[in-house]
Amino acid sequence: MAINIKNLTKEYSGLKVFESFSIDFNDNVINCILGESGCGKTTLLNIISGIENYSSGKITGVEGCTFSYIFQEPRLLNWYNVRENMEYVMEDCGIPDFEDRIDKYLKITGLYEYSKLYPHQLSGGMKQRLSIARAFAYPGDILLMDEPFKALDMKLKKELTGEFLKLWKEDERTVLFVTHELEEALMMADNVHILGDNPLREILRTDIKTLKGARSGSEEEIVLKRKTLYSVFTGHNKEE
Amino acid sequence: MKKRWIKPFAILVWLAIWFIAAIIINDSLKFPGPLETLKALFANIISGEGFFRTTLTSLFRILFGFAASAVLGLIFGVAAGLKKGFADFMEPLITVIKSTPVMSFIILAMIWFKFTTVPIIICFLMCFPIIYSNMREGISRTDSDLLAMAKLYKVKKSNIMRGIYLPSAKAYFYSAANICLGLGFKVTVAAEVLTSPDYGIGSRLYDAKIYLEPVEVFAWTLVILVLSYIMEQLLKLAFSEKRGRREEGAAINGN
Repeated sequence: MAINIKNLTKEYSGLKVFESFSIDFNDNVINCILGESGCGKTTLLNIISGIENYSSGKITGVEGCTFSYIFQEPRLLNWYNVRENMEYVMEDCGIPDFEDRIDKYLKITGLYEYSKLYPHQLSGGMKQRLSIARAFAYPGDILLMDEPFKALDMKLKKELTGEFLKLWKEDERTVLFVTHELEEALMMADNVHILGDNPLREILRTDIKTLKGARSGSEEEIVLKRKTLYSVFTGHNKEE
Repeated sequence: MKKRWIKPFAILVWLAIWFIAAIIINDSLKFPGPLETLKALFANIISGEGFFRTTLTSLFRILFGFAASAVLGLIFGVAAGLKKGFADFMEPLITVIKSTPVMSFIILAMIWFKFTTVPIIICFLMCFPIIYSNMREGISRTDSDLLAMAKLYKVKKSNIMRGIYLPSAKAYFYSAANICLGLGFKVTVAAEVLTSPDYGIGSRLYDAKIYLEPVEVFAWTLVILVLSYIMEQLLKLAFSEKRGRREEGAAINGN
């Protein structure tokens, strides 16, 4: 089911982050929310997942849904090893053969042989890979991603983006992915929603420019779409 | 000097200072040196009547008081860390226990309870607020990002306690337990000195005071130090990071 947000309003001690904000996300595609830092991208994901409340508005398409979440930082339990970190979230998910599922995703992400290592023994890239494996192993209906590659260098970013897409193609669930980097959006997303970022937040929240099928179509079409997206995003920046 | 030699070297230096001080004072009845103390330890105390019963009785009192404070401090501390209302409810009681002089408690306990149980009660009263406060601190400082992650993945509450809260607070508990073991020895023996039960290191210290035998005080103190060290090492072993686990930073909220 597609996710629809209608007239969402969210305030933090008097400051309006969203006012009458509406947006739709397609199901079983990678939806990217692209915007400058501080424009409310993470807040939006937290509202959709139920981590944060909102003042008013209506969100449909997430009722009874479970979520997987790849956070900016891996959020691993330092006292559990790689496998135990996976088991910790899988134990209560209701899948009887969850150990096999853990094996599968540890193998796909190349972490199987490091199952006994603890987070402090892993590199930054391996930690984030574990966070990705955990999110895919968990049977969440919707996968949320909050700038998961932000702290990584370009080489690692490309490597993990490739791994992510490989995993997603095996299990095409709805993805909501936020980033402030155009390149990341171009590499990963099917649909890109550019969030306006004006100091008068409450006015421009509804200023969303959407490009559908950013990664689909013929090679020429993709190039054209990417050019369009690039001009929209950079043009949007110039307006500021 | 290599790091591992610093501690043994420091002990030797302090022993030498004790030895020299005893030579300068030159009155082993008032200030016995290490050799006289060791001699008294082996000749009068260890080989004397009831050494093991005396020592084990004191050790039992200390461990019983410590264990009771650890269990209740953990339960109440967790509850207070999770519910601010409960922490507010406990606060006056904890403040009173922390601020009341230990002598007041000992005297009151001597009036209300059997002399043999007074040292246990005093050990409990002195250790409980420390373990309670540290556990409350550890639980309330649990990483909210990890809790949000667990909530999002719909981890059961019991598993959140087992997998996030308790491991996060483990280092806080260890710090408190470490302080309390040392404190437990001090206050239990002090309570034994005042209540003078049949068996107990404190009772023997009281006897030494009556018979003006400082060498026995030194020797019994040495027994306490050795026992305290052994307990501290056992605690360290119990909390050792056997599986390479890394805990979050500890805090010390001792008195």
